[in-house]
Amino acid sequence: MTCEEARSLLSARMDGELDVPLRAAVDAHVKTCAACTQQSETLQSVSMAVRNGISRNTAPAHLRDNIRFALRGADYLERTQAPAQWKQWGAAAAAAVFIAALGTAPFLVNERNHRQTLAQELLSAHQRALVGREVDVVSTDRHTVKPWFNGKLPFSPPVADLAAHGFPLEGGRVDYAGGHPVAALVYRRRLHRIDVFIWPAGNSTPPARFESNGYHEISWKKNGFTFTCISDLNAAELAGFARLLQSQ
Amino acid sequence: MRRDRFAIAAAGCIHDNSVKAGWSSSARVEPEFERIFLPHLDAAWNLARLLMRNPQDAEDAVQEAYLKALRSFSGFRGESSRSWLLAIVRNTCFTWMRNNRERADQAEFREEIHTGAAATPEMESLSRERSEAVTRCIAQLPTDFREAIVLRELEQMSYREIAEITGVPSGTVMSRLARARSRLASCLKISLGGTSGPVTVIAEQRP
Repeated sequence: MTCEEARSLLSARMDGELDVPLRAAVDAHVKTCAACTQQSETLQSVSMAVRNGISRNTAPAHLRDNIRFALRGADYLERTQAPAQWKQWGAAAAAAVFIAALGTAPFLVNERNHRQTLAQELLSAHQRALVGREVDVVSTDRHTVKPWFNGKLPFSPPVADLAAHGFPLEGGRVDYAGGHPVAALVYRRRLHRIDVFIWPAGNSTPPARFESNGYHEISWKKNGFTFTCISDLNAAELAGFARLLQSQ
Repeated sequence: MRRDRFAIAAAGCIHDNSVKAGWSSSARVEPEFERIFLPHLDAAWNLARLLMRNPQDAEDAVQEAYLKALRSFSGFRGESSRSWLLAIVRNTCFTWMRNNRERADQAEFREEIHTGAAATPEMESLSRERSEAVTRCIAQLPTDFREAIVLRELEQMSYREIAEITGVPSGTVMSRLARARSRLASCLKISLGGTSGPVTVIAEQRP
């Protein structure tokens, strides 16, 4: 074996990655070659220096939390929203067959159109606010934001404090969508703004889940209110936020 | 190692029989996924932080990789979960670096994330200096070399495992490691040779 051949194999020899005959051949050469012995020692030192030099760091605690959070959000999207919608459409289709016979199918179509129109309107409201006035009341304190809506809306929206979960409240404003005034709460996640629109649910169905140009929109009904959260935050984190808000 | 494989194989069974079916019947996938893959978060983080130059980007990449892994979970067949996850992490990092080449090139090298938490007060300045030199030299390696070194020296993976993760033949892994080490050897001599005292890593090891 020549020096050159041996040199190219020294690193693999150190890693124990040579098969037995090859290893024996390299070993035999190194024994008789001072230069290759020196080179081999250098490689050992480099390996040691690297192992000691780059410590195996523990991932930041907030990264672990964020990942858990996003995983739950993503799972939530898959698990509840998509199948629910699928079931809903399945049920709607079954119902449509039945109801069509009664001549009331247009109602279902209207209902679907209405949910989509409302989703669009809310997105427009969110985008308008991004370029214009974001909040009318600036406060991180829900005890300031909640009373601010008194007299400005015919209802009192629930205001949750989610700062401990990395979603500080920034304030609120009154907006307008679907032909009625709605409360808009503004939360922040890093550089992303999240609008949460809240209004009395009545008998209406929440707006459709919506996605457009990087914006995501998730809606649900709870305690007599319809909630819609909209943001350019990634879908999983927004779903995690939705899940968090639902649990309040 | 054998025990680990067994555990993973068992996890694969659970996954195949219940979790995959559970996805469509709206059972929760994420607890099972977390149980298998969150223990590898440190490995994922170390790979990402050493591949990328900015800690925020590394965090984003790791988070994105976990979400991708969750989406591909139905394709996980109970092989080594660490390799499976790290392959997704490195692909995510590489995609990010390709898409943000300009930004990645301009990014300032942030010493502290590469050197990291090991710099405790009681740590001697000598070894800190050495550790900083090592991380600086690793950061200067081409990404392919850096990745091979991290997987080998930090994760102690075999050439076959590294080959699987990086999607190249074992022979390429071998030559990348050999070339990376020879670059590191000269870089460490240059970085450390100029300072006074017995700091020189290479010289120190010589008889």
